[in-house]
Amino acid sequence: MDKVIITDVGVKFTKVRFKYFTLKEKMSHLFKRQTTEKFWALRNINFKVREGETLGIIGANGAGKSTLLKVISGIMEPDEGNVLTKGKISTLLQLGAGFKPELSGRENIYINASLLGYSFKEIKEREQQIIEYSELGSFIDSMLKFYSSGMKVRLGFSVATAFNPDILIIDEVLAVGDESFKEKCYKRFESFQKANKTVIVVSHGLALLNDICNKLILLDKGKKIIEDEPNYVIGEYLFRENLGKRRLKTIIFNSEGYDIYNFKVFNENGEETAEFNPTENFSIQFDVKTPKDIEKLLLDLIIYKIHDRFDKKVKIYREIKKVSIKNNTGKKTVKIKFKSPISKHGEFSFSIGILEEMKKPVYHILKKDIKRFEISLFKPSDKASDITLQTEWEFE
Amino acid sequence: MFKRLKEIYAYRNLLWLLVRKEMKLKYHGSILGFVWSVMKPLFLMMVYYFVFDKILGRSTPPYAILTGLLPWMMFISSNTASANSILKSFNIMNQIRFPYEILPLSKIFSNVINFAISLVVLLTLYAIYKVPFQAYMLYFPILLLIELTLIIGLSLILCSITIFIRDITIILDVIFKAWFFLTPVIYSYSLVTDRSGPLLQKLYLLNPMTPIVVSMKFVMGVDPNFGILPPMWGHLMYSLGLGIILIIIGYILFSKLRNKFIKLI
Repeated sequence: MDKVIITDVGVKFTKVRFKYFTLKEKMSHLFKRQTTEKFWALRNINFKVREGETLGIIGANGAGKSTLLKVISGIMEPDEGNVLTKGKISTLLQLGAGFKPELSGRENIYINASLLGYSFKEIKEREQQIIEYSELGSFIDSMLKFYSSGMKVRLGFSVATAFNPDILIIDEVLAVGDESFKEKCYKRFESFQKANKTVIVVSHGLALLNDICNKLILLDKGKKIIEDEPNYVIGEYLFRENLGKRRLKTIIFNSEGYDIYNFKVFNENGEETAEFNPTENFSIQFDVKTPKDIEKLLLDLIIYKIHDRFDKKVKIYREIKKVSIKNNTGKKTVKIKFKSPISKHGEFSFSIGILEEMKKPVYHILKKDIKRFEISLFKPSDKASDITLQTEWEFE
Repeated sequence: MFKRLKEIYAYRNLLWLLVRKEMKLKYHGSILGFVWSVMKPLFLMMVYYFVFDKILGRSTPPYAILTGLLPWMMFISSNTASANSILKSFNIMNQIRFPYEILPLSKIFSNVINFAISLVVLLTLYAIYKVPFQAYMLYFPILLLIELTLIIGLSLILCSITIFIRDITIILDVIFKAWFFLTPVIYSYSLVTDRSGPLLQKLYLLNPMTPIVVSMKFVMGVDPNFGILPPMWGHLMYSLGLGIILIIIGYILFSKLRNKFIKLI
């Protein structure tokens, strides 16, 4: 059953160069035209969330994520389109939203829960449970303004999830909690999913979304880009993010007849393997196929370090090497020896591309993620950064 | 409109909590705390009594001043507090959708409760000065209700406009000061009837608070200058009618602007 149905939703904001709020300002600008400009914070948004489904919403800052949550929870009315929700909604939208800083944590439980529409009796029944879950202990009776942001989130999350709402809506707030609380949140989410509740989360914590969501929506400048399985959407998101930053101008033509195959990784002793010691030297070998002989062929070797729980790849090494194929077969076997170890641990992945140097280089194909290999752990924490490798290329 | 009322009723818990919070925070952290809500009108009463009775020689007993002062203070403090109520509730408005009317209502309610508490002081003063009980006194709650319609109507209008014109509260301050002196709160209505012509009197009675305050003083039998002036029923109906009109205007305005609040605050 669909619990949330969003059809053609649009939210319009007025972008005013100067917003005049006081009479004096209004008067003094009476004859000047205000430079107002309407823009759509959200436009043409359509999606449904089923019972028991957990939906994550990602996107860059200003993509409209929080506005979308406000629209779903009814705080903001859409300027066009329809929002339909079935069942009781619980929200945790902003750090400190729904809280009165001058009141104690306990009083805020009551205010917050009655905002969500629960009766005194219901609140009283859960009060103890909320306090225990939030781990606030004796702080519950001190004023909220003295709470740390982590404490506020713990309290907010405890209240929002204590009453078994049908729909739980949470904005980027969990990032504030510490690891042990995050673990607790995961468990709550799980129990919500088991109880067939609907959850909608906005977060920049891609790992969290990847773990708990059935479905992700990617927003960009108020528009829905894709709605799909988490790893796919995260990939798309990261790709777009990188596109913006690094200005990858390369266009890959996916030309026919070009291929890279027979990719192998060898260890120091020349045995094919997928796992190494960090101190070990290794080499790779692959075959290149081109439809014709090419004088000025470029091979693009990229090594990525694979990060986190999802497939975030960070480029740590790149080398472009010139070769020429002149043997009438258009085939060449390439062997690259790495004369220095990577000296990092973790999982790595190779991508290899074929370019042809014309007036401007033409990127024929790029084989992404052609092979993965692992270097066993020797440093507990190791950040991805560029590495320098000494290589020796051999061509047959 | 009925549906809205039902919705507001459904959120009565929240209303009650906000009222309680209001009461608690009003004098939060001050040493005398709650006592202030009683002391403030008493001090004012003493000042006005000193000025009127001792300096201007207009023999007005202190309890008569307080009788006018208490409902008046409820009037202005409800309205000024309501005017800011939406603007200052950004926090909870960002949590979830609820009937925003709760916000000005909570301010009004807490002021009514405050009034009820200070009423005890008033009655004590009556006892001290041996003001005799009379059947007219039972009209007092009706007069309060008429005042309440004015308060609710005005509050609804003010709280929705303040979002768009932020300095309303400052303007209000000036307006209420003038309004205070144009209403027979601290002086007797008979002063006006004695000294001004019929046109001026008519203008004076356009003020919807005048019949309320005059009648309040009358039914309590505390204005010695009155003689047997009856409660001004006709004028009271005018106040009530105006109150209802203000509520309707306020309600329409509020409903029209409600959806814009969250985008603007």
